[in-house]
Amino acid sequence: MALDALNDISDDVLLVLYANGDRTAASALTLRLTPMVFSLASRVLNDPTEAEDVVQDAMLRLWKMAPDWRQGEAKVSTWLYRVTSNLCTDRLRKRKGIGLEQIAEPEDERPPMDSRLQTEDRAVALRRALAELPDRQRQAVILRHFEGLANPDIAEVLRVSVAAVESLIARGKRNLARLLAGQKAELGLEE
Amino acid sequence: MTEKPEDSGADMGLAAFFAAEKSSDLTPPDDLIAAVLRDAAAMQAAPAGGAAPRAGRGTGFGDILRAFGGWQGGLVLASCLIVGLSLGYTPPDILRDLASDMLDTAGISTGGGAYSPLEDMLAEG
Repeated sequence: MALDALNDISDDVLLVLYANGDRTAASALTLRLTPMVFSLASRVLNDPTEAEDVVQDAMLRLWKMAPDWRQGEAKVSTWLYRVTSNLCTDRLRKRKGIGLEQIAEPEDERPPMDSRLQTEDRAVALRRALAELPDRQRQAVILRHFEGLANPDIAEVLRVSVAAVESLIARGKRNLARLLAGQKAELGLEE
Repeated sequence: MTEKPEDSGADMGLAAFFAAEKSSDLTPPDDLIAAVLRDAAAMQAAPAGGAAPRAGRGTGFGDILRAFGGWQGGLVLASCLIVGLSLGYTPPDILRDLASDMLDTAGISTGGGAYSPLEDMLAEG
């Protein structure tokens, strides 16, 4: 089957096709799901190499689970986000004790008025602030604001109630605002 | 759909930071995609990975044989079983004498007049 022909097919149907030996389904799922979990892992871990390891591991678990997948019971993307989230949490636990100084910094002093670089600096500042949040708050904020998941889906990924998700996101954003408040001026933002 | 202030982070002065982060390029590298595709193909080819009948799920004779290390292991096991049974039914004299000596040493009689508690119980009713 041609790859384009699979664009309209849902993830769980593709997974069944994959389990039945369809190689095109494997390609379609890889191209559809890998970017999704890579962006989550990159943001949560703030380390591209570790993010790649986590993504490869998560996708491998998806391939292994494919023959046992029960169509219609859950969303493949939610399942995969949950696996990725758990793998990230494991990595973060192992990493405890590593200080902020070991998190990637902007490489050099850049002209403050260069808007492209300023945007990069803001992104770096946000990631450094995200890295300081408790794991659950960080994951909830990322899933909501950067992966675009609805609160009920986040609740399923993190295995908490919707009310708990709302609380995690609110606390996470309050903490981010506090952490970034002192950097606004140097990043070209008004206080 | 219009973005709500809380979605952009504007409600807490985070909008510029969120917008900057959203513009970051987080495309997975080609070698990661290649590795994931290789894993997918390997899992599909593996007997336990596909939806096709998987080896090791049944309980046929082949599986039992595999549990004992294949046909060679099965052959050794069958030989041992035959030798053991034949020794039990028709033990050679040397084995009978050896067993008798060992039991005598331990103070257990192997003679025909051995005490039988069952017979006593039957006699007493």
